[in-house]
Amino acid sequence: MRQQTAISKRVAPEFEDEAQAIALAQQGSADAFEYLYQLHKRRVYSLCLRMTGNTAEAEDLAQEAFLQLFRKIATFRGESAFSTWLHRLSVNVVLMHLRRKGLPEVSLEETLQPLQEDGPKRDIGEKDKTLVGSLDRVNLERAIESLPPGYRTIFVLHDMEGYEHNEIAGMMGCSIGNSKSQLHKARMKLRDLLRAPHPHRGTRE
Amino acid sequence: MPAEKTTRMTCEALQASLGNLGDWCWSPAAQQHLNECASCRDLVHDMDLLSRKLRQLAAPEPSPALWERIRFQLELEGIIRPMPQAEETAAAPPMPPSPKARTSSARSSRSRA
Ligand SMILES: [Zn+2]
Repeated sequence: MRQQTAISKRVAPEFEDEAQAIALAQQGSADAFEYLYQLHKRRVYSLCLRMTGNTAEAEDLAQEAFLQLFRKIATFRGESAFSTWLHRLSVNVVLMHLRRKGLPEVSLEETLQPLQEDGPKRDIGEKDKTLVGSLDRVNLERAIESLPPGYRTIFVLHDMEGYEHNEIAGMMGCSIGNSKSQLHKARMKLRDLLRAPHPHRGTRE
Repeated sequence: MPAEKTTRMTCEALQASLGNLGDWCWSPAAQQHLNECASCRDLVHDMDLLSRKLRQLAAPEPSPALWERIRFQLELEGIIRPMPQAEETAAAPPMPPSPKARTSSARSSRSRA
């Protein structure tokens, strides 16, 4: 789905490529910063939004991530991809925020609501055997939002952002095994949420 | 209820072996378990569906005010500096030192990056 950004007042700056914009941002060009921001805003913001489930918090965190990046841009030498650098930095900003808020993280298994059943037995007696029809965009977004924070973090990082378990373990300070088992629980929880009757289903965005 | 005694792999073991969503690589034992266990087949089916749906989710867009906030802070901290050749006015957007004008149609692909 393609959405055109509404540009009412001024045309967003254009550059030959990201490298040119980075070089000019290093000299302090406002247009170059804006170009880099426009290029990466969706990915950074959606990461923040999916990990927090709150738009105001997500904007604050995206702002913090971009500011941290732009403050350090003079040190960027291009050893790693700029987007990788920005993205990792954004993840760290969000994780720091979640830690400050004292939300349970992946290593605190016992603080999370245990799943009612971990095995496949839960299929018995349920109306829908599989997800088939119930999985539309709105339901999916909502279900991800309603994952318990620890589960949401691991699910977003692995299944949405594509981080590997060893990277997640490093970022979150847990073992790889823990990351794997939490991801599995998060997926099962998400599946449960998607199969549960939705009291709010009907409110469409 | 799956007969865990008669299959070589338990449901738990199969589920622990799930890797990247939709990018499954089954061992012979896992394949055999899937042949015999409807519950795990349903689970894998759901995970495949989830994987496809996740790829279709669009990245949401922050409010336009976010850039203004960031820009304000960058100016405050002196990170944004006046460029030598740029005279900023409201009417004409400033040009970068070596501008290579691109058509505005480049925007839509760029914003997906
Ligand atoms: Zn099974």
